[in-house]
Amino acid sequence: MNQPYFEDVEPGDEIGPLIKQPSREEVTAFAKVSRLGGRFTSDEAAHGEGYDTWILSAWQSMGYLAQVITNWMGQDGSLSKFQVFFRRVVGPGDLLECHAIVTDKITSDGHNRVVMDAFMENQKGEHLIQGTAEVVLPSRTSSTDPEACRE
Amino acid sequence: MSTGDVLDNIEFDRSVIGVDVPVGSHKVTKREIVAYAEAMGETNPLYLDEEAAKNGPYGTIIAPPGFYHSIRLKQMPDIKLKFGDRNSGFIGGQSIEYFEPVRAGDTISATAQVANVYAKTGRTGTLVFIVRRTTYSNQHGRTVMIVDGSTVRRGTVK
Repeated sequence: MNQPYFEDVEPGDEIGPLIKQPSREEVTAFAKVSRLGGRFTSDEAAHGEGYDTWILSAWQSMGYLAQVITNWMGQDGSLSKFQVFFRRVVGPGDLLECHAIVTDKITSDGHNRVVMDAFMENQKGEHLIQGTAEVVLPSRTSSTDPEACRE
Repeated sequence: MSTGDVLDNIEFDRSVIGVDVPVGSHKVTKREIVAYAEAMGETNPLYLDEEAAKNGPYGTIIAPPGFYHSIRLKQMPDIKLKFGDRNSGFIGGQSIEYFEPVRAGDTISATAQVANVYAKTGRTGTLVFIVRRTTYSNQHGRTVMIVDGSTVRRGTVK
């Protein structure tokens, strides 16, 4: 895992994509560890709730979007803020692309913060989730304590 | 359009707004974190590999950012909203602030409150947004994350 440093990041930098195409088995596995059932594991339950077929949990989709960021930030980076809005239902077999784009970099309270937009789109180019995130990165010239963002 | 007036005509329990209640605690195991990370297709050794994590910045396995969803909590505060159809409800979004990671072996306690209720009226009717704030703390009494989650109910004001 490469470690990005604050000095090396600039607004406009693209992160990802992380590509996922969750199978039914993967959706079921996630539902199991998250103690979910109903429309996430059963067509019948999904039909009863007005869906054509079983769907992905919003938490699974959101986790994928976080993953593109945590994969990028390295062991010494830390995700400090993450905000998402769910726009569309994610269905089985959808090809999901998770992206993030750096929009700003700020040094405040002694911490080096990278701000980014993040989104997940499907094979039709539809945005399924949109959000923003803030990551604290180490500096090449100062301490790299990843918990330094704790207030 | 956002209107406070719309809410005046919608029945719900306003007394729970801003009142924190305990909603449970859970001891997080390494096994749970690894199972969650594997289900998510994670490759980050901090979530999966005990040896690598031991030599990493936290000294042990930590949980991915979305792990908190797998912590079973008790019933969240209910505003007993009498509006629209329960089945018309959907998740609007989540806003999370992370303060420190959840480590394997941590006992995480959570409190929750209804932080805000507001309405928006548009072409398709009225949407009522319920924002619940859940604060997760570890066994040291330190806040590890605060999650604001919104659920939305669609309906028509009579």
